[in-house]
Amino acid sequence: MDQTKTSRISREGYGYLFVLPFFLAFAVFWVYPIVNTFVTSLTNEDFTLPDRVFVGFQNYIDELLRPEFWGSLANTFIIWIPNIIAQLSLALFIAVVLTEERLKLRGVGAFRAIFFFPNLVTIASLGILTYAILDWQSGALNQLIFGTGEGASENYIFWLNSPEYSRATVSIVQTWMWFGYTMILFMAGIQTIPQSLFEAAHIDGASRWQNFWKITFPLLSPVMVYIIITSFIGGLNMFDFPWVLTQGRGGPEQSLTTAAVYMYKRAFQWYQLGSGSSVSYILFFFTAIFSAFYLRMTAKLKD
Amino acid sequence: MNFKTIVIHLGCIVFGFFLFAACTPAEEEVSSISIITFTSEFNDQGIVDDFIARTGIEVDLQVIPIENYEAKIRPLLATGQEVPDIFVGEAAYVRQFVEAGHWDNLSAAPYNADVSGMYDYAAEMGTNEDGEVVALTWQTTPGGWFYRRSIANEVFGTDDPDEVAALFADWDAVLANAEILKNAGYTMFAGIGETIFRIFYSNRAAPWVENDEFIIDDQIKEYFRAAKTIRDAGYDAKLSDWTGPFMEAMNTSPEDADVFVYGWPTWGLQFVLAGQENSSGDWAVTTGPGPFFWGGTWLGIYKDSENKEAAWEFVRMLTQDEEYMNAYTRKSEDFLSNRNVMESVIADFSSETLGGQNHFAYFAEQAEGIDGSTIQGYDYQINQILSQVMNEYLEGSLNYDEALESLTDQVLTAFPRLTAR
Repeated sequence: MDQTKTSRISREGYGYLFVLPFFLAFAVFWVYPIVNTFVTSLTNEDFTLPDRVFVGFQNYIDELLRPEFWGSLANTFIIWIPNIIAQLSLALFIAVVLTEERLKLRGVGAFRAIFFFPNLVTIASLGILTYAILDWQSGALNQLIFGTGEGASENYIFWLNSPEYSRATVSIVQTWMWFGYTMILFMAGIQTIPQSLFEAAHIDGASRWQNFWKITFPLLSPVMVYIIITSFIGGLNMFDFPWVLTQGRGGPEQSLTTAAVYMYKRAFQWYQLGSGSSVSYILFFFTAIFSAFYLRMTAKLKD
Repeated sequence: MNFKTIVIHLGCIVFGFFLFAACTPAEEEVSSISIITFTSEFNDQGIVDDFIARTGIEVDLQVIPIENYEAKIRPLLATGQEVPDIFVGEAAYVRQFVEAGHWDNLSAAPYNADVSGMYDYAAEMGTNEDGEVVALTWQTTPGGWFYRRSIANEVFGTDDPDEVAALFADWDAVLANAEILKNAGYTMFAGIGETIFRIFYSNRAAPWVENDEFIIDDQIKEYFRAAKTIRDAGYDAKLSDWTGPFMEAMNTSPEDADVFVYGWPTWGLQFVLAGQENSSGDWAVTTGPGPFFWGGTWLGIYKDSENKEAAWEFVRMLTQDEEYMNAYTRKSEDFLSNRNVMESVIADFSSETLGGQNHFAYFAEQAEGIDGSTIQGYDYQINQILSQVMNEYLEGSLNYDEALESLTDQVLTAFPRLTAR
């Protein structure tokens, strides 16, 4: 009797031991920073000021009242929305074409790899590359459009000095980077749709277009929701590309100061760590709402 | 093995991993100092090697890219954890570090730093309000306008620095001569950037912030007007500082030269111009429409350092030991902060890049005229905002009043504790 009891305890003990390293790392690298950020957000911590004083939720109130904070959030959406629309359409189109049984395309694997490739490029190098292409006086784009002859430079467009072009650039590059990844998710989604549905539709004389609208598209909606929500969360964190492209200056009329760029500037360029932390918590709050929304959506779709 | 023993063993393994990283071998007699800096000179110019060879003290040197340096050092200072024995401050924010009290007082024993030989501004920048020297520098960074000899000869009939200085006597003269250059098929400036900005910035009467109030000095307003005139009249090649085309324009051979003048401090000659092989010898330096300085690195000893004595050895060698400084300036061609040392070597110098001109004689003269009193901890951030606003103003999306307003708004957003008139 006693024997059994000991062995059960030690077996349970082993379980805890095996998960211990994970929980330690989790506590050190996740829980502690999260808690510490929250505590910091309740203070006026500023690297340039000597004392740290508890200020309650003042930082949150200040930020929520600052037009620049809302402006940065608006920038994020203005960049993200065209990007997600383009990304989904492009990825869906290619995924459908590549998985279409009747087309029997060869080299699907190669296409998949090629389209996925942009996702592997370091964003910093992409930023520098884009900057070089769009450079006002010597960028390839201006030279391509207006030529390089005498007086051609009079017509050159200062792309990165225009809020619209700057935002469009970020949208386009984000789309280019992510459509391959999205396409792979769609292809996986399409492959889980039972073939029998398509066969039945074929027998009933359905066109490809009808196949797509009546079978593929509705059955892909869980994947679609997943992509939109994760992309939204990723969009809220959009930082590195706009940062590199504007050398940390925020771009013309601050049009590339996304929410994450704004948070970084507040905390690490202007050294107001307290306010910066509160911005990160506000963003976290938005992300949490959307995640909850996502979970409800997927639960509904399953029903 | 019972459960307790296993827990203890496994716990030891897991924590051991962390502890191991934190433990250093039992401290021997101070044989090592730690330094954090943003400049690779300590390594590149052999300063660390010289120090080790002279003292036998090891150096743990961390070089952080300059754009990330403040973000790295400030949290360390704020928490007081892992602060190195020696850390540096750049001209843009060294005043803030000096006043914040992170550095030990070097005027007092056992250091007794002597700044009597230093150029005035170099000593002042490292001295706090109580008159205590807390940071020292080994270099001074006066600037000048570096122009193309070939273009000067062709357009103005002379490449003599004194005569060319007359072309830059004031902004009116600069603009008038820019027109002459333009008609001859050249541009005066590469772009609206540091060359022009530094002069206005260094000659302000007031700093950016006084009594928590943001001030746009008249010199800054003049900068906006001059920059706009230069851009609209086509006196610049519209290149942005540090970009590929900007650097290329510096490296064209005399026959292909297009841009006439670049403003650089001492280190600009050493690290930027000297690397331009195709244009080597086609340059000369002279005074622009005002004196300026740009950059500079001060170093001090952390107030709670445990290796103050060894750290001082490093600071002393680099900033106090005239014999070492003499050898170092000959080796590195860096323009140093010690007047005596510089005066003793001036006669021996001439620069190949500058076609044989004695740049040290020029810099020594300029170093006496520098005023660092308007430099503040806010400058780096505010200058960043200014350069963005300037682009929008130059390209017409903002008019003059809107530009000043946008500058003010953005500065107040960045620093909510400030007010503006």
